[in-house]
Amino acid sequence: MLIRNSIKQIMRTPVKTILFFLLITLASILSTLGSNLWRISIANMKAFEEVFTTIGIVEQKKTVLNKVESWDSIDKSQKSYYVSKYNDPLSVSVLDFEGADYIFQPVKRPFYGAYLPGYKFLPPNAFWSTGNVIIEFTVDEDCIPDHAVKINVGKQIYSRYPINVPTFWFCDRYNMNPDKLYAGKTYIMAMGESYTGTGIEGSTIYTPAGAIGSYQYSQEGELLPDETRDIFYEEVTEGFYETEHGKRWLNLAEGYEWPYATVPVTATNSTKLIIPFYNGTTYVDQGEDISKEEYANGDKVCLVPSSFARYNNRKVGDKLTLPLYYANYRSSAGRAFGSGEIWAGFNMLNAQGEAYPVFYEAEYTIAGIYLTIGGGNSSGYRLAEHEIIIPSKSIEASDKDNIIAYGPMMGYTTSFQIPNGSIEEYMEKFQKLGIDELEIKFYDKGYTELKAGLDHIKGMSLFLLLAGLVATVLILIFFCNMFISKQKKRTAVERSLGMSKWSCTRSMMHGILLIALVGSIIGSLAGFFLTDKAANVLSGNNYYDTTYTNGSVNNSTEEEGELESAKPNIALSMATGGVIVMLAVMLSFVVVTNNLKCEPLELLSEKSE
Amino acid sequence: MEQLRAEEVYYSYQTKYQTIDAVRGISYSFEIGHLYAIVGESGSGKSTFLSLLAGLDLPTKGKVYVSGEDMAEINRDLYRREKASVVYQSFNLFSLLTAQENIMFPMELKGIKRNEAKLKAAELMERVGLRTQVLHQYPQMMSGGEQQRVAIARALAAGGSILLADEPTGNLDTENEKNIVRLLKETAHTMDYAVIVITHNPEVAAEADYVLRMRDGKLID
Ligand SMILES: Nc1ncnc2c1ncn2[C@@H]1O[C@H](COP(=O)(O)OP(=O)(O)OP(=O)(O)O)[C@@H](O)[C@H]1O
Ligand SMILES: [Mg+2]
Repeated sequence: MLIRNSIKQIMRTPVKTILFFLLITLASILSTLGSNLWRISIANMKAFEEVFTTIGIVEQKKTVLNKVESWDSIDKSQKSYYVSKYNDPLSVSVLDFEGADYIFQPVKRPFYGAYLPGYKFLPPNAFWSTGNVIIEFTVDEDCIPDHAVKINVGKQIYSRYPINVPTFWFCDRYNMNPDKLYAGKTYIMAMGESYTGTGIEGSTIYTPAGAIGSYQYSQEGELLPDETRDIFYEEVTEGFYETEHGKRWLNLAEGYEWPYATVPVTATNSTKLIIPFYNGTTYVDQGEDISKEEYANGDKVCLVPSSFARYNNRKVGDKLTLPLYYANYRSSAGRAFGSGEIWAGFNMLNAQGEAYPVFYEAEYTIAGIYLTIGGGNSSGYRLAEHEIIIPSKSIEASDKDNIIAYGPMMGYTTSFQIPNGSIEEYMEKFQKLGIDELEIKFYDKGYTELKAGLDHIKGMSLFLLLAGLVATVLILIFFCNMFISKQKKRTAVERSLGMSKWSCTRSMMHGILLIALVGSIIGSLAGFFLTDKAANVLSGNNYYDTTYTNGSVNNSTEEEGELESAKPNIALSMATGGVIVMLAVMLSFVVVTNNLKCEPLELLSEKSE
Repeated sequence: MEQLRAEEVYYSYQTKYQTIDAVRGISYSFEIGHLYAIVGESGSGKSTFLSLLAGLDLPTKGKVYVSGEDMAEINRDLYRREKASVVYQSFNLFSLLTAQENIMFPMELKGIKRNEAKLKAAELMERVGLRTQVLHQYPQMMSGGEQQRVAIARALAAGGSILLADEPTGNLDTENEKNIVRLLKETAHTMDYAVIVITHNPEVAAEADYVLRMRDGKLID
């Protein structure tokens, strides 16, 4: 009876009632929109945090000018020019400064040589270049090889393919003062084709290709001393191969052979720290990426390129034994091996004059097989043809005696990860260090911009929510006044007819609450359905791409992906509507209670309407 | 039979600035079957006294007894719902309810079924002399006389035995005034009500069985 009369009466002021209904509906649309967008932006932010990573790459800049003198015997030219060089390599530890908040500390990523004889690295009928040879030779007449001289091929110490010619044209081309060669003596030399200029009769000229000196580095990056680096050829006498130098020549032969069966193995703490994986041009196609836990535990798992898997018939889950015998701290594998090449020769003699021995060997399980799209690009950031990725921590032996190269931090070797959105903070602190020689670039796949967009949505949603709630309160105050305060007399009459205060309260509130309830249900449903649209309008779009916030490493392929945006939540919408109803209950209750304070006595005895 | 009795009743209004003693020691006994008129100059405390009889508030001092029970002890909401009804000069109908709905209101409050209440409302309409067309009209479409009849019908609809009217004819013309007074008289005499009417009009007072004169919150002879 109460409800019916209450509703009956409110329905008999249709204009006010409809207005109230529309306004309260609108206010709840705003509030629901606000609360949903708020939730979505928070959810998206969280999702972004999981999807996005911010990595920095470090590069030591060339700060020193070095004068270089060069001599070419073929065209008798002497050149001198200046090249900019690196100062002494800085240690990554300089980046371990106060306030640097790393997810992954900066490390110089080495790549290792894994000796894998018996594995195929190229399609079966691919062409091999000839490479260097080590031979004994003689000359017919005394001569100084400052021009092309004819030498007789003697004993072949090393050649990948048999040498079928009796003579070579030889020139100690880049040596200003070559040693004299005597007829009747036997010499040994490592030599290779000189790519420019042809000798007499159109033949290829050979030049010295490798010395028996060692270029081993210490762990600290210092070149270990060696006196034989200048020896490119020397005389072979009786018992020569028993001597220190003689042994070195034989060891060099072994050192020449191994690179043909060497696969680069990059050790890292996170796949994402390697740029092609980071920007998605390279991705794990079969199996799984190495997980965080596997990296953390140093599990013996690896990622291999699909070409390697294909040529050697390997699947995910197969085992692969990796005998590691050198460590390169100067270059990335991609850079050292060149585009699409599977051979990278280094000086393969250690400080003792021996070929580098395997320092660590373990069986790895293939966790994933990766694929690179868009072909190789020309910078050092790409992966080498057969590059294998393993967790740094999986290597349980020190590589300190097997470092064949060492150089400054480069973008393609040195990277780290910091929390998303902390680039500015990091750079501020880094710049205070005043290390001018280091340049740091960041990649966050546009996180910073996306975050700004999200913050914008968040701000807007908060505004909508507050506006909605404030509007609700104002609307309620206005209409409570209209429906309740203006009807003091009705309450008084009800009282005089014997209705209790509580009944009067309900009689007044029923109508207004019913409308508020319907309005807020419809409003919050509408808000729920509008949220998606509003989110799109506010954010422009839902796409992100792999271009970078700050510079760009290479001509990365523009890969667009849609990030699954969080969806509006019906429960939250209803809860928002609920809050509005609660507000209506509270406000109308306050107003009604206030009305009831007035004694009906005075109101009723008024003499005119 | 005694219905209402005032015993040394006082009432003071407490305002911000002063205390107004509106009723100052009234004792009187009202019985069923009689029409009482209360007269007195403006501000003499008539309405205040009537409100106390209606149980809208309790006396600041003294007692009002309803059928022998202390007003302070009973549920006064229930008292108004079941026993006493009030009619005002300004009619005080629910402006958003029709005549019929207004009349049905107290019955519905008592829990009488709608159909029954409708029949009774029609009966009451006839009794107070309202045309059936008025049934579905809203108060603002009715004349003053019609509104007051509806108000009386609503007052009677609750049943009970006490009808209190505060200048019920104050806003009416002579013709209507006569009708209302006749209605009140009938109510007292044939329906076993104690009817208490405040009036300024001597002609109305002349129709009453008893006339109470008030001055300065007191009864005078
Ligand atoms: N709500 C109130 N607050 C304060 N004083 C009041 C209130 N109502 C009435 N009074 C005062 O109480 C006294 C009695 O008022 P009351 O309305 O009972 O007189 P009345 O006889 O009905 O007068 P009238 O013939 O004009 O209706 C007056 O002095 C009046 O000013
Ligand atoms: Mg009065």
